[in-house]
Amino acid sequence: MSGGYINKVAWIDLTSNKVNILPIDNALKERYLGGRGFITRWLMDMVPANNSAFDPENILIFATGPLTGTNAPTSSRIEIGAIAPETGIISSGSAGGNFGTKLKRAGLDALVIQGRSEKPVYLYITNTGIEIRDAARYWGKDVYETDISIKNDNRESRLSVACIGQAGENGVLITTIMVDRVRAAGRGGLGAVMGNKNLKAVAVFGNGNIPIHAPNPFWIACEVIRKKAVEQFYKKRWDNGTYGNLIRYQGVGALTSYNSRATTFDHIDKICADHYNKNYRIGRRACMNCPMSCWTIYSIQSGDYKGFFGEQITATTFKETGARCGLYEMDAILKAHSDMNRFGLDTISTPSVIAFAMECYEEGIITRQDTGGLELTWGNGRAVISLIEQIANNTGFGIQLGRGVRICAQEWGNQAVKYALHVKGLETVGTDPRGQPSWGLGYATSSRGACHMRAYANYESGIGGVHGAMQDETMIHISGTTEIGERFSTTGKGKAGVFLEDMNAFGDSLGICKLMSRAELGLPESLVDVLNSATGSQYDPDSLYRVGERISNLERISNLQRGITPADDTLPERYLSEPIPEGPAKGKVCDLEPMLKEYYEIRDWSWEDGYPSPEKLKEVKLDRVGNDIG
Amino acid sequence: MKENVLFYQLNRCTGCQLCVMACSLNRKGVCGENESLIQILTHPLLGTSQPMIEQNCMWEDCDQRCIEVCAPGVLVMVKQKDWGKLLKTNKWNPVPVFSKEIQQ
Repeated sequence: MSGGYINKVAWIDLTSNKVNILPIDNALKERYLGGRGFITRWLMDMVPANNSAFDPENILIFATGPLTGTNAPTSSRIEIGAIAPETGIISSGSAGGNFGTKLKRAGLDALVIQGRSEKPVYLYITNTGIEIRDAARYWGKDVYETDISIKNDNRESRLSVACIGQAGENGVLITTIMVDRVRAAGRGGLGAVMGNKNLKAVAVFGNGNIPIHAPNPFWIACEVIRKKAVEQFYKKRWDNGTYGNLIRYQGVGALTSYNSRATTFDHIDKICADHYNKNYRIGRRACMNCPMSCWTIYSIQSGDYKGFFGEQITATTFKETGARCGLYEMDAILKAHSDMNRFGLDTISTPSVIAFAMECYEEGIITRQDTGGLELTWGNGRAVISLIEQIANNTGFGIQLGRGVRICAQEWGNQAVKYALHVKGLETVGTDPRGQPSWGLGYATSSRGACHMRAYANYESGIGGVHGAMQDETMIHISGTTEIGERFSTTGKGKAGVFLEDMNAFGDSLGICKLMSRAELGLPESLVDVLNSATGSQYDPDSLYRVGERISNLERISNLQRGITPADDTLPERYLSEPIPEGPAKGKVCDLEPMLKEYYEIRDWSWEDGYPSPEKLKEVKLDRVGNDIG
Repeated sequence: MKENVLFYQLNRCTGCQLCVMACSLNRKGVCGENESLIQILTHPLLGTSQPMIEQNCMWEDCDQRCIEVCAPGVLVMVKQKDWGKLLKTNKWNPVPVFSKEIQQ
């Protein structure tokens, strides 16, 4: 392959302070593309299944894809992965911003970080090389302070910084790694893995070139995609970022409110896009190479937080910190969201564990004595903000919450498990699968726990409507049934779930954003010309899809080796058996089993032990223990 | 020097750099800011952005891909007869010009 890749990976051992830069094997590129594919392959090869996330042998990987940093729309992405401490299985996630592009311009496709430093360090990466530098002066600083201090100290404002805040330093399990201050990746506690390695930050600036195999065909192929992206999504993102989707979940009765006691939020007008746009938004920006600017800048003009300036709001901000916690003071939501970014906390899992505690408080499972005097009533913004600080600093009641809902529920007993909304240890997202069942299947089968982004099945509200990223006819083709658009039908959902997971798996490996890889633009037919003209490869849609399928199956084998069984592919009991009490989806539960059975059938995975069949393994060129074959 | 001047719309640039990529790919067949005649300046704290062009942009012929890829419509090529009209709106400015040693 003569373009797209730099063909260099830095293998960095923090125990011995050694850096080794090696080329990438062509077979690895062909089979796994980059990004999430590389991460899964390397974790399987290098981290034995009996190693825990906090063993120095765990590796932390930053991997770009062959399209990262190119003209391909949304190609800013960096994929970050490791064995995650909250779940004990592989986690990888994608962040936007500028880091991925700058890493490639600095002459590297990926960083594989092994071992543990004796003292806090950071990596300083430029066109001229990699230095492991002392980070004592940054330890204890939050993400914003770290980002700015590293730029100040190096007199280089063009650096892109990926770092952890205090939460990662303190080993909190619900941490992420923050990129360019406000972009995040690594649910399941990858911030804590970075902290455990005594690695505070990776700062990179490069201005080299990324080669392209066939520039003119590549330009034409990118333009086809870009024009479609602009036509379909530009105005929507410009007007309402990704947070405009909130109203969609409310409309179908799938907005997790009060920890899923309800699925519509009674104060939606206070946390919706219109309110935010009118009173807070002051500007927009975009990740590198993205024509769909979903990144907004805001300020608070009055009240307790007057003068507060922040960036990057998504639907998650309003769903999790807002409706899920019953909080409808926009000022407090924005402050809480920004604090989580500063501390390096997961902005899904952190509000999730707080909402869980609120429900346990209401049910009398925990009391004011347990919370250190905090009144954990729904919508108590000051309590939310206070708990965020406690969780990050590992103090007070935050010590317990920082381990996530699964461990809290196990320790609190007294029915607490009923309110702990997680799959495989990872907290669910604020879309209730009783109102949007395909999301339920996605939570149950996601390879990193309850993550909506593995399948990103948002078609249910798109069929016949204007919101979905997939067209009706595409979903009918993928699922093989016209029933796919019927929200509460289970037919075709398993087949669709498999396809969407695999499509996202190769999308995450190419270095493009979910805004593409969850949509029509992420179909293999849409992307092969872009990929082949960039790299000189010879994929057709089937072989590109097969890469995604291989990654999904390899993640599956890894999970099975780490103790996951088919019984873990399920949902919290509330979603399965507690009917929604109100709203458009009143009376519904998530009918998971038929969807899951269809999913297993299409995957050709054993219902008994969870493994892919010998035939499926042969198709994706893996053996039963995850080695590449053929 | 080209008769037309590149103008940009104030407060609209998102900093995506697709224009930079388009220019470098067109000129040298690679993706990278060094080969591009248009650059984007983004404030490291506020995130606001604006374009600037290297002076060779005023002499090199091209197919104006930077304008084509810009989704928010930040860039526009303006004939002399319209310079005054645009400046008067307080919404458009000519893209500033800088010079550096570049590979021709």
